[in-house]
Amino acid sequence: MVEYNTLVPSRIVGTRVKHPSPCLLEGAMNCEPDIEVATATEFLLRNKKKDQNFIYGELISGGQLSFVFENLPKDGTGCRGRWLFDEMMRHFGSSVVAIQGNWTYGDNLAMVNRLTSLGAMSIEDAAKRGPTGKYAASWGFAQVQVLSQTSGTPGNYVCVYVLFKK
Amino acid sequence: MKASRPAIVRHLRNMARRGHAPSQMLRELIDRSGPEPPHKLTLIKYMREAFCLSLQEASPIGGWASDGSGELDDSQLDGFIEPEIVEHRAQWGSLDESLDRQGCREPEGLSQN
Repeated sequence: MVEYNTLVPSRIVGTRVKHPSPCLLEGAMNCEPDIEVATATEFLLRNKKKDQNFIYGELISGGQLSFVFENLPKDGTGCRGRWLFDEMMRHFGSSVVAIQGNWTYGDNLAMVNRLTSLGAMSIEDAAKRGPTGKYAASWGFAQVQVLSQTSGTPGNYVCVYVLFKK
Repeated sequence: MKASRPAIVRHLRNMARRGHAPSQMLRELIDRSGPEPPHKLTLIKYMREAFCLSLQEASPIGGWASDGSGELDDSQLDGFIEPEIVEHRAQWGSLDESLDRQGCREPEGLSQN
């Protein structure tokens, strides 16, 4: 895997042949991606036009990918989650063995609670239906393992910790 | 004048020793940062460095906002972060005394806090 030890100028992102600007690809508004950190174990991509729009990922022991993503406010603008996730996955490549889902707030947790309420669906299946579950599955990480730190009851989970595996 | 990064980290640890909650520490960070509020990733970075937290452990900070507009309120945030700070006490508790500038290390290499 290529390792970048220095900051990658933002213009490089826009000139990649395989990964053109998300603005051109998907019609995303207000998205000017800037890769600020890209090493063997870290990746940070921030939107220069929207402060609270970024993805930061770390590759930790055993090849687990831990990451945080944000696109606020939810106004339909900014670099899209799918595109940011794909950029991160392309960066880490085959080094990723499993993808963490650490949900203490946000869309994934809301989805799990909505789908598991009244026993409608298992937590495993619900986890696959959220944004991260879908993104992970598109990279072949379709198996879900619910971790013991998960707390709450179906429909009322306070936090959900999962691992997506191949 | 803005405090240096090691000074801020030491201050956060001292706040924890005095029993301050994570939400109080984060407000302190924000108050000390000057007119431009720090990015969420910066808050996460300082808390990780001060208390040897993994990204997973520190990630609830992303759902909190000092003005109460986040999904997590103060007590929810504290409920997630405080146990982790206590859990890692043996790691960060003596770092200032030993003048270990490396602290619990930046997230580099294949290591997990």
